[in-house]
Amino acid sequence: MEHEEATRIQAAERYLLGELSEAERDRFENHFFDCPACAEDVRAGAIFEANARAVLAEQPRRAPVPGWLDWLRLRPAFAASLAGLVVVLAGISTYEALVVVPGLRAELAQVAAPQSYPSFFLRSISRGDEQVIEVPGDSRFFGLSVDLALEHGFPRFQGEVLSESGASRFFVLLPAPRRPIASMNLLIPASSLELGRRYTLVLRGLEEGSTGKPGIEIARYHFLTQRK
Amino acid sequence: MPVGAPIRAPEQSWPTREGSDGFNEDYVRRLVEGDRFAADHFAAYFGKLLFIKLRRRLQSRETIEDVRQETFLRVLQILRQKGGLQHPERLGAFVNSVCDNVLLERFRSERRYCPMNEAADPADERIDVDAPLIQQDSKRLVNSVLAELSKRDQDLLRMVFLEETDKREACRRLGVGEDYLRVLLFRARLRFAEKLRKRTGYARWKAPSVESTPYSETILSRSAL
Repeated sequence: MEHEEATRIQAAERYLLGELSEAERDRFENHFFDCPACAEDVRAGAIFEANARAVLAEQPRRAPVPGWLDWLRLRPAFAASLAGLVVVLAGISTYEALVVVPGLRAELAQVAAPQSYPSFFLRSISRGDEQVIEVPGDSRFFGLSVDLALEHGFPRFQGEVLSESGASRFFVLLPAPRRPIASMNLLIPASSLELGRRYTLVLRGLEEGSTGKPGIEIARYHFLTQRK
Repeated sequence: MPVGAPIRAPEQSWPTREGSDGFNEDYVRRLVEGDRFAADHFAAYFGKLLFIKLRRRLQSRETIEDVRQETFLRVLQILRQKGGLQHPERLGAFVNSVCDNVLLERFRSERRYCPMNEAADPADERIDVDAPLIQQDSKRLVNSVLAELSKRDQDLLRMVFLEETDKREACRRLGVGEDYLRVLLFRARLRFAEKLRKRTGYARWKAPSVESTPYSETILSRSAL
């Protein structure tokens, strides 16, 4: 081995660290036994290594403070799960950023934009049977109107929509009409009700201070939703 | 060399980093003649190198010393034979090859008579084996070099030198590339050598002048490097 090569490949450090192949090691030994400069490098490195080992052995062992990466390395199964979770979350995040969020923005813009919606007047059961609500395909909302008489004397009302099984789908609070007879209007998102299903709107009167108590049923309205 | 013989300083510079390129005919001639300066220099120079070389092959301090002494003996015997060394400038390579032969013979001998070879022997405590390289003065200097390193670098050296952690694993754990350790050792070695020069105030490997302390004493007192 020539001196230039030994210098270029940091042969002294590689030799001390055992990084040379057997053939390289023999060639380098043959060189540094003849080369004072390389011999000095090897000697200084070996003395540093031996004394560093002695010094470090005398120092009290500092308990290593494991970082979170070390903690994970000791728990490969957890690390693998976590890595998988990170990948999934990253995927979801990317999907949301690229697909969901733009979609939501578009929807919000559509909702905020001026628009027309179909409105239907509901008759109570006593006035007839089930009514068919035909919601146009491009309508995002539809309106339901019912007559309310001031004579009921309730300060406010509650309108609750029930499914065929009687489960509550949602309810809204309605203020008392200012006139003796007035229409109460409900704006309902078309997506909140499944088309082709039967629903019942139950109108209840709420007494003053009746928070939490069920109201008194005043009327029921049956209707069937259909896509027009 | 007869006791009481006059001590002669070398007439030409011997292997130094700053000085000549290597050994020469004068050095070998004086070694053959039993010159005390040459003998001391020879023992000090090659003693450390042989130890470093053998340390990488043998685990026992006694075995290392045996091979080293056998190498010295054979080299001097051959040099004193008629014909001696054909190329004095290759004295270093010659010493190395003699050592290789001694090692080879030893391995063959152990293989023949002992089922357990040297490498299979339980390793001695490494620090104990390294004892010939360890001195209080060197330790102080190394300690000051280590103190200048970052905690990560100290941990890396501790893992590799003391805890015998695989180098790749140690580098991986500390988040550094595999070349980092070599560069770290390179810089630490330079820093250590620099401190040593400041401490001792002389250029290592340089032959003393005629007026200075006898070379044998110089070598013995400064044999840390």
